[in-house]
Amino acid sequence: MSSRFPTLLLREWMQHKRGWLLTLVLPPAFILSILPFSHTNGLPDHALAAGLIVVLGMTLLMLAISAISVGFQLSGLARRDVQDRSIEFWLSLPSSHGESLAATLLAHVLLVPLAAVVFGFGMGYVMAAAAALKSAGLAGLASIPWAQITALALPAAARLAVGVPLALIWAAPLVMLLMASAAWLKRWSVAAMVGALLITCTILPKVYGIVLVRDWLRDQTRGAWHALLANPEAIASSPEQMSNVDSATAWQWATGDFTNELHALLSWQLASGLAIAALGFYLLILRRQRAG
Amino acid sequence: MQSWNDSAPIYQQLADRLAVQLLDGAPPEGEALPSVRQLAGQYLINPLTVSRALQALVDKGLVESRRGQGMYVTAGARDRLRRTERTRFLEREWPALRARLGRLGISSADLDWKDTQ
Amino acid sequence: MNLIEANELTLRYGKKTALERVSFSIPKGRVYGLLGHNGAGKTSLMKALVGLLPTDGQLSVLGLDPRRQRTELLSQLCYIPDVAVLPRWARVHELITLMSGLQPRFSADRARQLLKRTSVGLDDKVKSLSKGMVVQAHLALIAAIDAKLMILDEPTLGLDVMSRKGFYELLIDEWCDGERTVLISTHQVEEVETLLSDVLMLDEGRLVLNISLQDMDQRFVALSHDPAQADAVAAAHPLLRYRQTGGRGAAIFDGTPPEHVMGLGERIRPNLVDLFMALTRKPALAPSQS
Repeated sequence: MSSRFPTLLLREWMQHKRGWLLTLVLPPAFILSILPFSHTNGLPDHALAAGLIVVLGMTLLMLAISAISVGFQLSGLARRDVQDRSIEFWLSLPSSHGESLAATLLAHVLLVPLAAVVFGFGMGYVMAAAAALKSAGLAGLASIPWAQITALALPAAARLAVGVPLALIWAAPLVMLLMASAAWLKRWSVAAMVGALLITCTILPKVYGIVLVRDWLRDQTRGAWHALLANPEAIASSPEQMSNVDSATAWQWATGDFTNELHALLSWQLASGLAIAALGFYLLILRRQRAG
Repeated sequence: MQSWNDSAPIYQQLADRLAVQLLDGAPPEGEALPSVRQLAGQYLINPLTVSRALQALVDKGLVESRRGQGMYVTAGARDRLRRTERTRFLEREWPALRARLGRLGISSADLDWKDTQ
Repeated sequence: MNLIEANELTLRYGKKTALERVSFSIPKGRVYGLLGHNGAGKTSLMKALVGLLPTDGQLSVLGLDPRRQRTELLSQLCYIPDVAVLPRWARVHELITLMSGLQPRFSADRARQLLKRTSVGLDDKVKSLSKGMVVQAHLALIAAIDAKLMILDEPTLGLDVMSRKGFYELLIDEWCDGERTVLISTHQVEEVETLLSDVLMLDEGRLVLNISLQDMDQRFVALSHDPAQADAVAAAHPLLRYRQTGGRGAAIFDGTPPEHVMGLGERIRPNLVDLFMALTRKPALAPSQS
């Protein structure tokens, strides 16, 4: 019983590791490869600000790439085992439908983006070093205030990392509905989702004045964004101000911001979202039960 | 895979086959027969059917069960078996064969007769 | 205690009845053949046994309710579904790792030992294996589960003769030890006949025969006769009449026919294939005790 869930996660790694690793490694590799030929003039002269932008920028980029990639894969994931006909094999092994689905979701939607954040953070340093090397040689490398950058970047990246699961809680209804529709409607799921979006966000408000769904979607999306990246302006709004911020202040900001977002979870908006997500999950279980 | 005919139940046919092997001295008297599982795997027959076949051999006195050790060929089994097979051949199969030889006009001179020992 | 107890199992898909009031018990140490034509209900019955389909009636497998205790049941039995496909992306040793973590009764060492009998290597990717090797690998993996009951749904469908033979050898050598039971469904009756100890015959959802092969030899009487006697034999209402190779006629009776009919020919063994043909085209017999 206790080794089942980890094994299900291990399955995800075994099946998808190549894709995951490629998605992680290719973007930085690409950037590094074009670095020698690019101009690094766009960055502000202030070394701290420049370093921060590169490190945090890389982290955000990797997260974005990971999120987009997951978004594309979600509908495929919903039908993955049915399409390669291995579903009957998995159903012949003792694991509950809920467990199996949860493991898949956890791995792809949470663990991989988190890995992207961590990896992106590390890569950011590599990028910064490479850019410095390129523009000013070894001297440039030495002149970068690594410690200061880390003092500010680490709290920000940590905030981003804990923001991912929070944002996922907000995004849950959309994710689950997307997967459920892919599982049930197969090829028509994309059309159905697009159609539903169009209807609820344009036709209903414009023709019937029903803005309920559109507003709900808007609030849900806003909740997700804030969960992820609340307001960076709270720390400092200019490169000069940033040098005045020390590590303790940065951590204070990060934890305070996170706590605010935790409070934001206690809302009817979120509760309604979770209810819809639960419905989506139930629909997925139903589908898996029938697949045998 | 399929080499059983419809003349008799499978267990009987297996018993007959094992008896033929006994006649040939495989295994010799006093030695053990292959285990039920070995025979089952060799002939691709259910172990229960194999057990019935061995029981049929026990009933004929050709084989005995030694507690915890399996089935052993009884002393004198070969001779006993030979005698019954001889009787069967002479009483049932030979008359038909002899009639056929007569019909075909085959004499003992035509037959490639060697001492069978 | 019987491993499987089924009572009045009924399964309906809308208008179609897949199983109709099927009742039987299966004890340990047997090889049960579930015979039936395509669409007779074999796969439906097996899916019901492992909790994949809901049924009316009572069903108890290894003492558990398959529908409600599905996960627990699956951790105690071996099941190869119809056209089960091993995940094509996986390597064999990866499957061993996964099964070790998911199936508490699985033994990785035993699996490796069983795989040595096949031509499948631990490092092989499933997608590089031929169909026969995939089935052998699957069986080796499943047989490494220490369970009392193995359920196989048409496992040798589409395999060549050598693979089928290897499959049955593995089954007999490594699995049938007198304590475990195998339930194997097939419509290739002739091939599997010698492996079986008992037979369940399904015809359009109904159980038309439930008998041990030993009892079958005694209950059904087959007669081989001269073609000239055909009418006389037919008058005794056999279950089935057919032609043997060589031109002789043959007939199968349920129970011993009168002496004068027996005198018309010689008694031969009623083979399962012929019995299958006889029973799956005629109204059901009263199932005998197994």
